[in-house]
Amino acid sequence: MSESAGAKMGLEIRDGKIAKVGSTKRIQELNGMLHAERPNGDIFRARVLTKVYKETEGQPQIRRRYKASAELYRTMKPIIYNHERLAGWPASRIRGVQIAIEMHAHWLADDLDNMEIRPYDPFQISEADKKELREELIPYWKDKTLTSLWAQYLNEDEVNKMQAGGFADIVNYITSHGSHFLPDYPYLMEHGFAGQYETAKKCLEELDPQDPASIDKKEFYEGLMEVLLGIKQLADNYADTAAEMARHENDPIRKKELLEMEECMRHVPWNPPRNFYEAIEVVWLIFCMLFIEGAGPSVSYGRFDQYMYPFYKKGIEDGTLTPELAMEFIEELYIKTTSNPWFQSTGLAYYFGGYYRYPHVDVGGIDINRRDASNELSYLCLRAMRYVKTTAPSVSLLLHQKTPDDLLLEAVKLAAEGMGHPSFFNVESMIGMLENRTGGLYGKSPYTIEQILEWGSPIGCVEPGVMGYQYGHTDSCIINVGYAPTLVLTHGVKPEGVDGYGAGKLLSFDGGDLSQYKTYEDYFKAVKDQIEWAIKAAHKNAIIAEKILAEQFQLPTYTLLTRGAVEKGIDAAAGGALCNVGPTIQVVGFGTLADSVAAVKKVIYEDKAYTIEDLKAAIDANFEGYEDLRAKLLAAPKYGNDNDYVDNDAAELWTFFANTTRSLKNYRGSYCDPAVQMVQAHIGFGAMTGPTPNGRLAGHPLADTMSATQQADTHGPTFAARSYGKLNYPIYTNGTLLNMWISNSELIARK
Amino acid sequence: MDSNEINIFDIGHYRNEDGPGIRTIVFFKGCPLRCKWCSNPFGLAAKPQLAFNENKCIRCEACIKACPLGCNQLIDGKIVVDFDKCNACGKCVPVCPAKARKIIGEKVSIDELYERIKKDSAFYRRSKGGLTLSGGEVLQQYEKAVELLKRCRSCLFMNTAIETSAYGAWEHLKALANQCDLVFVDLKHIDNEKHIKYTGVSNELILDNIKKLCEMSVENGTPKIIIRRPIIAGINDDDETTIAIAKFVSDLPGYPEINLLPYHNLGESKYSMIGEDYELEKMDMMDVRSPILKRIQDLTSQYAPKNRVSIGGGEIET
Amino acid sequence: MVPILNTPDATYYEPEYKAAGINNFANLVRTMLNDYGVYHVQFNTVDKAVLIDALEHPEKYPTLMVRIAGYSVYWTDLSRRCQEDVINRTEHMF
Repeated sequence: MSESAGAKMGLEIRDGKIAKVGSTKRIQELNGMLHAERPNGDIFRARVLTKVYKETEGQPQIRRRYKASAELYRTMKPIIYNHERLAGWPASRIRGVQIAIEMHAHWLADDLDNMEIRPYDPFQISEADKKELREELIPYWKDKTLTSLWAQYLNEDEVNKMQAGGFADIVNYITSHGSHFLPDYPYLMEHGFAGQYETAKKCLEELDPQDPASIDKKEFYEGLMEVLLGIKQLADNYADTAAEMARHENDPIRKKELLEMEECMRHVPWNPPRNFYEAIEVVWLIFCMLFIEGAGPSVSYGRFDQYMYPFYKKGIEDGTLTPELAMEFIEELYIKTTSNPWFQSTGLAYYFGGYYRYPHVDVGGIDINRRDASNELSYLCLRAMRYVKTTAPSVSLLLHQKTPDDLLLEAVKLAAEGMGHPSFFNVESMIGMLENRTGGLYGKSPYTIEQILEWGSPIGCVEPGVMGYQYGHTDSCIINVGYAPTLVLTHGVKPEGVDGYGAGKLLSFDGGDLSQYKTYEDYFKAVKDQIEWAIKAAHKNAIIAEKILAEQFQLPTYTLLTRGAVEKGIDAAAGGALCNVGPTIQVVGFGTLADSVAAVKKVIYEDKAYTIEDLKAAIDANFEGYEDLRAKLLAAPKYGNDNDYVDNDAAELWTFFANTTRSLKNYRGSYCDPAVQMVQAHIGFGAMTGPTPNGRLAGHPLADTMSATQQADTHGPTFAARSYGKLNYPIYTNGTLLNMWISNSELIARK
Repeated sequence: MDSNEINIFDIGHYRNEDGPGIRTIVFFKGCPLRCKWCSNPFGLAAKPQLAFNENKCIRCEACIKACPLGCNQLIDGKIVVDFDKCNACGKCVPVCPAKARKIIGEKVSIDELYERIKKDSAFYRRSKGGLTLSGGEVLQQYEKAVELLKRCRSCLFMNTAIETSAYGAWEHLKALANQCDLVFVDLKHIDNEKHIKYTGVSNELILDNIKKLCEMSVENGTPKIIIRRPIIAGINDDDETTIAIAKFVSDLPGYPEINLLPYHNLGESKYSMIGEDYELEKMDMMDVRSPILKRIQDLTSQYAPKNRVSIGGGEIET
Repeated sequence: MVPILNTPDATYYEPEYKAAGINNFANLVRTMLNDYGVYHVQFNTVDKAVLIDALEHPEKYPTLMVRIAGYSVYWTDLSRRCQEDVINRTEHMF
């Protein structure tokens, strides 16, 4: 999502501009409730986790974490608001978030007083909760967070560089576990959690006590069964509350709705759903649970129109469902999804601000026989967003050659609304990425083509995954490739006067005297060396965190929703999935990199208007007194105009980054996946970046995602598209993201 | 000028108007008419011109040093260009750090133009779009335009169109129309005196050519003819003009579509960039939904009931 | 395949679309993804706040384009009067 959704919404709340919008009165009321609340922090989870951990000191790690999740579900207070039909809230208030104390305790005390007024992503936390955090919760956890544990392996300079240096960065990876996931909804639709309970029970019974592996597996199965009973209890508690509310309800219509809710919650998610209502309830409740247990972003709905369609079709056929009612449920799901903010550290909020938690829903695509898979729900999911106008989930069209034109036009009509929805994904390129995912340079992914065709879809922003078969953080390390052309000139030193850690200090490495760069090829090679250094620096530090996550940060609910993990007896965090994605490595500032090397090629090596020493002096001075040199750099050819002069080298660097990343092995044995995404990071990382040889001044934003530098693509969208079309997509096994601009007035004549 | 070169002043990509689908529009430089409301004054003169955008100027005075003829001066804190003296040598363009200067008009070979047009062929194919030659006036370089159109049709099977004032020899226009799927022809005023007053030329040749175009279209089944009426308040938006034009058009063979183009002032700022005055009295843009347009549309339909009457450049049906 | 919806209480009314703009947009996406293999794209429409800033600081937006009356024009190529007009229209139309 490109705009800072939360902050924008905040502004609109203050302006009182958000109307109660939606297709029905119920949706309009629910939308009003959503927008009346400010994002707020809840400490229920932190309190339960602390209690369980204190009670189980010294016991096996997996037992402690599984007990904590079970206790969370058992003891969570059910909340049902008027007008609601879908039951479940992940926190005690609307727009609430559970503060993941085991991720944030090391910094939280410093910023607690500031939390409501910090410039990016402020959160409300009650005074009583702050007191409890400060006196009870933070002291217990501050040395036990993932970041604290990780920092024990490194020296202080490296710890700081990896979190705020601005070149190679892994801060996202070490502050969010339980994230980036496509839960196995197809399994639940068929078997319910009861199916997993039976599997766990059977596996436990069949354990051979003579097998040394059975020691850990016994903990695993016993823990899982306790978590499963906790989930059953959570649904039962909701059913009881609904029944109790129905008893006191005077409005006969609402009373009937509450009784239906009771019936629904008595049945699912333990049993497989029987109708559309129960199925979408499962979809939402699982989402809540994953946000209670996990701390991170990007849990996604995947191919909703596929696993929901049998229920839709049945309901329409037997007369229990109408398209309008289905759409009302979808709109309620969108409102509730938007209600979940992402709680981040103050430092991280500066780069990823906007509260957005990157949930994703996909429609269209192809089926297992490579035929068009779209159905009525595909249209309804796109249409619902036009009515309800929420920031989440990010609605996407999976486009392929056979996508019907009217579905594409339905998506374009949504785009014309100017909300940034939908995203368009190319199914063919996604299949290529998934065939290569985690497979390294010479291998293949563990997926079969059938799995990819049936349940392949993006997670979060753009990262490809196969629903139910994949686990792993997909937004882990950031490499600011836009910095590399500068760092060659400054001998690896971060220029003075920019944000973040270590200005004036060595940020990467000194490649040696500038006089050795006699040709453009010499310089180009040096830029590659800087990029390779950054990739390897991020990788070696991130796999330390991957090891800690696997050993200490188990995720029972994610495990239950990962196909085959229960049978294997391995937690999702420890490698229970078919495809285990390790820390991924992302590009930021690609357009800045492409334009910078092209400018050096043109001005320094071809026109020989200036020497490389002149360029270094200009960079050191932030171009002050070097206006003519800067003008020449700015006038050099730019990426995004279908100009091979720039695009060929850009494509080479693009492939170089992917290949370097894919040659690195992760802790759990799979290979590293590259991506270009990091929606807003170009601003924060730009602030930490000195002047660049494309003529960009210090501190200014970098080019975003894989897009051309802002305002540099002067020939319109078809020329930009052809530049982007020269890049190799399937090697970016963790996805690529592109922002483009089309004027609203081009699409809409009259509102 | 090399016989293979075309004198143009702009190429527009990904355009939604002036023909079906995604289009590339090539603007030919040089026009025999001088319509007072012209929104594209860069296309009027055939020779290259300097354009200077005051909005972008940062007053660094680099242009003053660069000009061999001393055309640039700093007066009252502003750079002022002596356009009469300027011979468009272009020496001040690369030195301007704000990119506030450019030379309007370049000579591009037919081969090069074809290659540039071809780049978007995947987009034309998807959208059934193509090429539109506009101006300026394409008739003034008709031989080379015919060559370019011919090549786009025979090598890429593209949809092709021209936009013309029809002020030229019929044989030239006919050669162009033979290479087109669509011809937009302007009808600026039906009254000859007013036509001369506001455009500088008589409309007799134009009206005659429109008739011939329509006859040709009916006879060959192609190209489609669309008659465009720019609507300028106080000049040609009166009922009398509308009725007269409607009657003229309703008598044409094949009942060509009439396309009403509401006046816009987007070209206004371009006049001062090339040292010209905008002669038309300042007026606001005419909204496509303005009641005046609606009235003209209704009245036209009344007197030309068999002709389609559309509004705006993007509403082309094929 | 599009279900016909009867939503009498809805707050949403479908706008009047420009057929050429909508079709060309759809084909832009088709060509970029299905022909050129680009994996993902998302679109922004211009933010009014940017236009207001561009009014005061046109130098920051050398290639900002706005489309009105069906064709593109560089922001800095417009007179201030036109720029204000665009902003007013933006507010009106969005």
